[in-house]
Amino acid sequence: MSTQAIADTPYRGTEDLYRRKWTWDKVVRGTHGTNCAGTCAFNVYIKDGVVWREEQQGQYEQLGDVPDFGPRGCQKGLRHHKYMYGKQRILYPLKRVGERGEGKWERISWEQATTEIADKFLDYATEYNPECISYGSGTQMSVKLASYASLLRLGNITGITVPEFFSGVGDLPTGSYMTLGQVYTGDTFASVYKSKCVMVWMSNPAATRIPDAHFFWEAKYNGTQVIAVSPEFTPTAMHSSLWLNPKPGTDAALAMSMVQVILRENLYQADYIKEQTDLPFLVRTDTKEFLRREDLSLYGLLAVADNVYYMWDESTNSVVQAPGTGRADKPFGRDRRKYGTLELGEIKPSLEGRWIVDTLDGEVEVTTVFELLKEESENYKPENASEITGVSAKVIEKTAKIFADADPGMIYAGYASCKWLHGDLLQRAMLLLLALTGSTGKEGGGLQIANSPNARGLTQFGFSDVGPAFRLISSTTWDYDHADMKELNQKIYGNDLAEKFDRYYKKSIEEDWFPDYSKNGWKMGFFAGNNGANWRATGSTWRKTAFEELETIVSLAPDMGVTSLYSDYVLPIAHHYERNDLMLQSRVPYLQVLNEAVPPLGEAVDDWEANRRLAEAISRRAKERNIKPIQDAVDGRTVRRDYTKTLELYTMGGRVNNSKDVAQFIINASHGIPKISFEELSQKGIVKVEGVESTMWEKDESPYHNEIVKSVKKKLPYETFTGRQQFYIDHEWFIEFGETLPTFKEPLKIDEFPLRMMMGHARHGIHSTWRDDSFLLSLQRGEPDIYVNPDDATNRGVQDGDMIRVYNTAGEFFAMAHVSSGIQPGMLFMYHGWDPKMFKGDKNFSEVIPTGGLIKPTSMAGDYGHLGYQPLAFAPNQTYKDFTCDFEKSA
Amino acid sequence: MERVTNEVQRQSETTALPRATIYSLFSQLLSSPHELKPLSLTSDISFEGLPFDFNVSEMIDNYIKYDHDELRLRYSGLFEVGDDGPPVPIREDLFLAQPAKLREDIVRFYDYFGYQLDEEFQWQMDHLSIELEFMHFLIIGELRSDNDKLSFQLGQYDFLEKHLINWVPPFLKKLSTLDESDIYTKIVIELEEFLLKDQFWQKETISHKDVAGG
Repeated sequence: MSTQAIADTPYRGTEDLYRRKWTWDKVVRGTHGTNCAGTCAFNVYIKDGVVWREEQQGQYEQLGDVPDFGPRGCQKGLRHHKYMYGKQRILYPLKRVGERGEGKWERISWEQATTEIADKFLDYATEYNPECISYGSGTQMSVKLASYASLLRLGNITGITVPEFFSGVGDLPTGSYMTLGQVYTGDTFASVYKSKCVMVWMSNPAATRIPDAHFFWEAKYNGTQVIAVSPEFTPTAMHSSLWLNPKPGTDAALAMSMVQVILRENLYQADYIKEQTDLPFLVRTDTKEFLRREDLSLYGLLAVADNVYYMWDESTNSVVQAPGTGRADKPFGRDRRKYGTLELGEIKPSLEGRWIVDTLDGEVEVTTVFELLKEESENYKPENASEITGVSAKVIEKTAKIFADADPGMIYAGYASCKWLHGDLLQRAMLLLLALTGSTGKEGGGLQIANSPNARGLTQFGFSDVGPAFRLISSTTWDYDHADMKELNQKIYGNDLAEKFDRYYKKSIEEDWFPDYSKNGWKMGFFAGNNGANWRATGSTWRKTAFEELETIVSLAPDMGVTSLYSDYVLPIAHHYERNDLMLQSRVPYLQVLNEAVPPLGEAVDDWEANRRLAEAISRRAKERNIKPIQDAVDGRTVRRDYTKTLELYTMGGRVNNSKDVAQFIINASHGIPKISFEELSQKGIVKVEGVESTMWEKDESPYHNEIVKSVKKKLPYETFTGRQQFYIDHEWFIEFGETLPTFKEPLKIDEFPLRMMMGHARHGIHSTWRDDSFLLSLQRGEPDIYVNPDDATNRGVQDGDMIRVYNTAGEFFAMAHVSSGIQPGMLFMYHGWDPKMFKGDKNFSEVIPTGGLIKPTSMAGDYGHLGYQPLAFAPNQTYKDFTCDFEKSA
Repeated sequence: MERVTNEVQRQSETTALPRATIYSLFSQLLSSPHELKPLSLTSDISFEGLPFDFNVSEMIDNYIKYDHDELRLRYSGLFEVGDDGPPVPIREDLFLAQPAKLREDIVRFYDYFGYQLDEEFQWQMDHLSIELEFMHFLIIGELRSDNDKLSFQLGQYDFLEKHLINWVPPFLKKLSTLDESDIYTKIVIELEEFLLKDQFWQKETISHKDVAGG
């Protein structure tokens, strides 16, 4: 255990220990691989194999004339040197010896763990199909490029199901996809500084984007209007120019009212919307469908030409084909962008008017989307919207005019905008505001939610030598197929809604618009970097009817949480300073390294190595058991799976042996990353990505998506059915549900429960990571607390600090009342991420959130250009917000 | 005041080896059985020259009844794994809820006296078995040192007082509340008795001399 050396200096008391200067063995570059989007460059100080402290590296450059990105960091990252040695760490492979959830474990060897897991894996894969084995990766793992690449490769080789977490946690901007054909519209954080008016909507960056929030305040000092929109008074609202506090879930009415003001006052940018949007496109008033070629000629009945749309040309007073539409090769997608242009040329499209057009059905009346929009917006005059939202009509008017006057305007929207059942309608309304003001696609403008690296390096690594045979699935519909979600809907929202949603769900599957996951069952689940049992919006339903029904559960995690607690095997995973990896987040134009500053604690290993050990065991056991190759089918292609070769394939025949090799592969193969050795990156910590000359991702050389900027600046058609920013969707389901245009719909509620419970990201944790840290808890109330309005508290005899019971028909949980006048009456607010084990009875807030079965029918529409299942782009979000509850003082 | 030891009472040549052996014994007994081969122990082990009464035969009789797999299971369940961390953390820093500077103090002791841990153990410098091994290390240093026994003697006393005596009694208390009859509880009962006796004996061998100048 030790090598002995006798001290050579006399010791006479403990003061002698402290007379010696404390020195560091080394200082290493690093960061925290969590999904805060921060990727903050840190210096990590090491002595005797231990991380003692970290410090912000702070060597960032400016982008042009905007403030720089550094120094970056927050209190959570600065606490990690302590947290990584905390009691929550999983240090050894564990096997459950008690009942699930009982917390009784046996420490076992890696060899025993992987052998037993491999045997079960082979049993399920050969008896059923590898599809029945899922490998969920939460962001703690998937934002680390080498780690996620290792899963991509393992999944591709073995055929296991990999649920995508984007829609799974309700973060998928489906409204953005419906409108723009893209979900990746975000720029660097510095773009905030370039905005003239930024609406911070359903977001709280002062608390949740600590390293970047300065851009908002610097912009404000520079004259930018920063307008916060949130029902509760947030730390962001506190510093903003103006705060709007709509009632929870009424935001779309607010947005549509701003639209109404802008239209009424003629404050819109007509040239922009005529070229970039479908607002001048003609719609038949009889069918509510776009006027298409098949309406006008027999030739048009050929399905290949059904993406031809028309405008009314003022100069010729006739119907003309809209430029950039009508390519017969493919209804949507990047290929068509090669051909078309949005350039109007001599055409002068009318925005307003009604005309009679000769069609194959005879004479029909047509009008423009713009006209229909005006009609729709009349439902949201400020005085009407004020009744819905609680925001005064004057404030709505004022805000709309400020926003319209800004060139450009920006909407910085949180992922909360995706978590409502009708979040897509809100996003469509937000994009409408941005389109009317000509802001989308401009530096300092547009909808800022997300961007993501072009995944070339990842996919090349995942598919190299073997080709793509990867099962990436929508976890929301997977859950609907495998848990009792319809029954949950019946219990909470009644039979009518449950039957209706179920009918559309099944119809979508029957039509092959969305895949059917019910055929092979769900037998085994791996959960990596993923507290999957904590974030499902189903109370205990998912846990009881799906998760706990799994025959084998394997968790791979650095820290103990409720998912590991219910697992059969828990494998210890290295923490942020114990691994080599890469981080690339679009908000910051730098590639960031994670270095193995110290060896992983205990028997922890990084994700690559954990998967390598699994691959080795699968290969070994397949050989020992003489398992023959199986025939699998993915996306209509037959795939031969020979599990004896799993390790060989995983390591590319021994060419890739550790996460450094993976990282280097990704650097070499990725677009927009300087070709640098991992060793050099390790020394530097950060390196600026390519193609970043402004605050937005507009260069092809950059590693991020820039399709929307190209559409605006190069006039290339959008990847939507209409080739435009599409605000009118004439899919039969959208017509049926009255959602052809952006509009407002009341959020669902549970009868007899008056309060809406809102949640948001926390200042003192990143999801469930660091949420249980003792020091960070000491900066809060030391235990989970929930914010309540003073009047609501008084009416229930509750005082600040009291323990309260929050309940509805789904369940109950207990938390400390945090009475605050920043919370409007009729709502509760709780920061998220608290693990169930921190609550009485191991029951956290998710006990009262019964929304996981609310699969929005229109989010499962298909056979309509860009609408149809697209992993990580178009799939129904898990809904989190559409419920109500109540509270009472607890004994 | 300057501290000195009374070598007549201390009798390092005869007392050090049995004391070091007991510290080493406890260090091994409280190491993870997942990381050590099974110990070969007999209850007739003697500690000749030990300056105070201490008998471990009953504890060893108990210990050797358990096979290695059983010990692994018990050890892990108490000290290594649990749904909210191990039920009784066997690391001082964790047991005392990570107070500031605690690990730094330990490392300063180790560094000062040249006690180096292998890489795989460095992160758990506060593990009970390692702290006990450090005591063994200091006592052997005392035995081997020709010209500065005092450094090792005072180091033992200070480390024992600042660390082991500071947390082993509450550690035992928590362990006892979980399972009084567990073999590891019995080991720590003996350990506490030994540490207290050793501390008392060490204190008796140290005197304070006023060296203040006029």
